[in-house]
Amino acid sequence: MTTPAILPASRVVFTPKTLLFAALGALFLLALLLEILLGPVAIAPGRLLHLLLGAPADATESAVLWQIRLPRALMAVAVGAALGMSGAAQQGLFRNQLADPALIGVSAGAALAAVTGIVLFAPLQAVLPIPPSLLIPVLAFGGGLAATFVALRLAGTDTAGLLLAGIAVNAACGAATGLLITLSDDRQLRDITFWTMGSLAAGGWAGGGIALLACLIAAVMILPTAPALDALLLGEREAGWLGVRVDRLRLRVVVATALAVGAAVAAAGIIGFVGLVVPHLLRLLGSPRHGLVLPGSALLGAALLLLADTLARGIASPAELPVGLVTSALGAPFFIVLLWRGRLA
Amino acid sequence: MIRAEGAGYSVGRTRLLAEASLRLRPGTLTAVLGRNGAGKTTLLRLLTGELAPESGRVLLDDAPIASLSAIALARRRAVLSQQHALSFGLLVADVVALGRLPHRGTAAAAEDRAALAAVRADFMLEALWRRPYPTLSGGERQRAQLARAAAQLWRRGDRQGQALFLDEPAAALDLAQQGAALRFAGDMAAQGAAVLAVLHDPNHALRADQVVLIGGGRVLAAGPPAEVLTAERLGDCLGVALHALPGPGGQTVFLAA
Repeated sequence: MTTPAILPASRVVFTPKTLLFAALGALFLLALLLEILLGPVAIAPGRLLHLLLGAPADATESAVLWQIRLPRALMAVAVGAALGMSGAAQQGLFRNQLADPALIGVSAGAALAAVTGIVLFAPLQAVLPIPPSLLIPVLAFGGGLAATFVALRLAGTDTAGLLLAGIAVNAACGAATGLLITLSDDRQLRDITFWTMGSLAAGGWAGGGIALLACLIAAVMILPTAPALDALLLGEREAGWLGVRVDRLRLRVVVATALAVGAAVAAAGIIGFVGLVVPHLLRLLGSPRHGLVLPGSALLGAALLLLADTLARGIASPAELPVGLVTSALGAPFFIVLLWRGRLA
Repeated sequence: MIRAEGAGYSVGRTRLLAEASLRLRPGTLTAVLGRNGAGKTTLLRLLTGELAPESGRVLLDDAPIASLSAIALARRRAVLSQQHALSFGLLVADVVALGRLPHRGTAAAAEDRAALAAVRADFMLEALWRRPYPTLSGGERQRAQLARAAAQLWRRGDRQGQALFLDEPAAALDLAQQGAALRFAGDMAAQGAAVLAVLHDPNHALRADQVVLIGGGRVLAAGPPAEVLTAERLGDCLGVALHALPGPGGQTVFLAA
């Protein structure tokens, strides 16, 4: 098979990869529009451009767009992209399609720190006079990074060791979180429950902006590792013989995902299954090559979280479901099917 | 080109290889024979620079092999291991193309297409090229991995300065493909590369320039096939009684008794 050296100038060739990204881009834009337009105060599509350009408009509509919908959409994009891309990178690193950013303890560490903040808020505020809306995300981010650091220190030099260290960190954080929960009163218990189910409501422009910044830094670190992650699929030794420094690659991926997922969890709580399911969909639709899976998972993760949030706001309107509940409710059956098919195969 | 001087390696208290001394010269094919667990793969891992010797040293062009970066080594040394599993469904074309990874961003990257087209034809992968790798049979995977190693070292002109390591390249292949794999090893050596192949069948070693017998973590014998490949020596090394029979080309062939 040879590729023709010269193509007629007028003929544009669409590779499957180009088409896939075009479809993902279209889905993303559609999801973004739905998230921005739909809700208790619906915004007509024709009005959106007027409102965005700052034309004189109805004050309610303008406030809904600028203070509620747009920051919320920003959160969904940043958190969804961070979770999707981190999931893809970790599945490549562990060479396991069922790996998840939670695996090395980021989420458990963030949850422990956030629950600590919720339960001990009163005594904490005496020392640190900052509002809970700021205190909890800062603690969650720090907790996620700390848990990853502990897992890395425990891990030694191989990937299986990192996995075992992640299990140990998850267990320890889970036990401590459970202990704090038994010590909490009814109101704290309610706060904890809602935090662990995830929500995009509280972040605002600041939360979304910080999550997006963390996601962009992680993307700059992770996207160039695509060829090395491909080589790693052959095996750690085989990748080494191809010139990949596996130890450095592992450190880079773990640090970048801890940053992105830590910021996402800090801004929005625990949102499950996006990091697990999205990279898998990309592999089914396209190819397991990381040059496709990493950016594709960021795009599809953002689109799916936008759609899940639109659903979360719409299903029980005017009440709002936690978005983590929606992603888990949609993701769990998908995961069960994957496991079932794996068992049959 | 690559030289081990008294190289040894242990894991915990288990000595996997003791005081191995060996030279891999440019343009020669070295065959390594020995029983399972004799230390053949450990020797290969030391000579490829993957493991650092605990005692002695391994030199490439008179410098310790560890002084070269992983990428610099990968541009001139390819390794075919025994491990051919892949958890994700990359295409055969993707797997073979990974052989070109070390050349990214170098002048050699301009030859990527030519290299892939050449090895696709050499290893008869045309029909498998767009197939997902996990759907391949064991022998087909081995061929794809051989092609990957060939793509890594592919260039126009001779093979001076290159090294190729093959860990049981004939395993899992049918007889026709075994011949092709061994011819590839021989051709690479004929073009100037230093080639080492770990083999199980002593008859495959007859065409080598140098044969190394390993047993119990030690080099038992090293030298030209005519010297080393005797029924007695082989029998001691491999732990099985062998008959030496006159072969069709005046050579000796070995048959397990």
